[in-house]
This record gives sequence, structure tokens and C-alpha cells, in this order.
Amino acid sequence: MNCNLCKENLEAYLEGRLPEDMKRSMRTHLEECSECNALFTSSVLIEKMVAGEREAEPNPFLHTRIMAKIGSMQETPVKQGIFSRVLQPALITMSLAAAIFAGLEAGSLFITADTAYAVPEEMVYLDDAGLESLSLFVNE
Amino acid sequence: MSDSDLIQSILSGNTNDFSVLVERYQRMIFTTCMGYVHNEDDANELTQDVFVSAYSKLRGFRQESAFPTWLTGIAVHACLNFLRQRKRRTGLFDRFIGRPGSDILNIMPFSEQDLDNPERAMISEEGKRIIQGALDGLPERQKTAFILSRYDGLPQREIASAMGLSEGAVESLLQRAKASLHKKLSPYFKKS
Repeated sequence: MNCNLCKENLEAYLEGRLPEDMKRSMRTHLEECSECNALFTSSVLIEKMVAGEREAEPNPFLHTRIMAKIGSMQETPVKQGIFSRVLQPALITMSLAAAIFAGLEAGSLFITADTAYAVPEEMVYLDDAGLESLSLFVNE
Repeated sequence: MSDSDLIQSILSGNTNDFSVLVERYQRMIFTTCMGYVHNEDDANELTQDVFVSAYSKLRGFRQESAFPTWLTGIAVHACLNFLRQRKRRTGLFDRFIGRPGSDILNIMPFSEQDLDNPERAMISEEGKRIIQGALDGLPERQKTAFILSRYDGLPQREIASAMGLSEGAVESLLQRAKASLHKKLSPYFKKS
């Protein structure tokens, strides 16, 4: 048995399809050849890993969750037509544009109120401090 | 009721019939997803996304291929997108599986009795992680061909249909995937 023959028959050996004498030669070679042994080991462990993951079961509520999610989608594939693909986005865009335009128009109507307090001319020259000196209050 | 009849019924408004398709194929899609993500929670989430996506795209299904083949194609895209996003999030270093060392050989004993009874050989959690890492490191098309072949047990003709390739190309991808996995993993198991 050489390495090439061993590699050729590795799959059949793993699946137990080889005749007894061939199986014995393979076993002897696998014990002696570290390279073929490594190949054999990795083949077995890959199959083990795959078999382990294949045994995993989906969540028992997965089916319910999927159908609930689909149920929450308001529109069925049948109803999804030109409205959802074209008209709906166009309507939303037009509504937004109208809202922005209305906002700009409303903003342009704003007039700054003249809140500056106009002091009458006669009051400008009025000297309260001079008329009622602080000393008058203090001396009282 | 055949898949085709169910699809016609769903498209005519009997949306509850989609439940039958989910029941029929959820296990198959879940197994495909497991091959990519190796994690039951993520596989459940992906399976849900695949069926929701299939439902919303059902009108576009032209029935040129079988429904499960079409569904598998959606699952493959969903899983590859999920892995690309995860790779972007976690960075390249998390994907690095490390170089073989003597400690790894110690935690993956493979006795000589296993040579006679490979089906009895045990695989440790660390061994699983190393093999999953090697599988994750395959190029996307090789990985997809390997998963559809080994996890789903699909014949090459159906793999070719799901991947949009010729059967010869699938055969070549499978050979390369196998060779690449052995090349990556053999050093871990080589006796010094």
C-alpha cells in the first residue's frame, strides 16, 4: 500500500466498503504513515462536525414566528403593485415638499414687531434724582 | 398539494397556504444556515429572514427551478450577507484560526481503535471550533458547494442550479474545498 492508493481508497474505507484484506492494508498504512493518518483523521472529524450540526433542530416556535412576521406584513405579494412601488413613495415625497413649501410661506409672513419703547420728548429732560434728592429721605 | 399548487394558491390570496411551505422546508433551510453560522440562534434568525424574504419575492418566482432550490438560493445569499456583515464587525483577527501546535494535538486525541471504527471517534469542542474555522475560511463558492453537498445532501445537479453554475464547475469547487480543508487541518493531526 502506498500513499496514492491509500488516498484513493480513503472514502471507501471510511464508509466500510472495502474488502477485508484491503481494509487490513489500509489500517497498517494509516498506522505507519503520519501524512495519510492526518488526512484520515481530518476526514473523519469533518464528517463528525457536519453530522453534529445536521442533528441540530430548529426552534419549535420558528414556524409560528415566521407566520406571525408574515402576518404583520400588511400587504400580500398579490396586492404589492404599482401603488407600493411607485405611487406611495411619490405621494410621500410630494407631501413632504408641500409641507416644506407651506412652512416657508408661513415664515415669510412674519413681521418683526417694533418693540422699542419710545420715550416721550418731555420725559427725556426730566431729572428725577435732582428733584427728589436722596438726602431729603435720609434726613427725615 | 404540490409546491406549485400552493404557490398559485398563495398568489391568489390564500396567504395561509405559505404555512405549509414553511412547515415543509424550514428544517432544510435551518440546516443550510447551520452550515454557515454554526450557531442555532443565528440559524433560527436567518431561517426566519429567508422565509419572510421568499414570501415577499414570491411573485418574482418564475418556477424555472424547483421551489426548494429557489429557497436554497435565497438562504445562501442571506447567509453570505450575514457572514460579510459579521466579518466587518468583528475584524479579521477573530477569523484567524491559529497555527497548529502540540497543545492542540493533546486536546484532540484520536486513538488507534478509531482507525477500525471511525464512526466511534469523538470530537472535542476545540476540534469542532478548528474545523468550523477551516470551513469558514474557504472562499464563498467553495464553502457554498461544500455546505449544500454535505449539510443538505443535495446532488451536484441541484447545487449547480442553486448556484447558477454548471455541474462540472460544482465538481471542481467540491474537490478544491475538500483539498483546502485537508491542507488546513492535516497539520493539526500529524503525529510528530
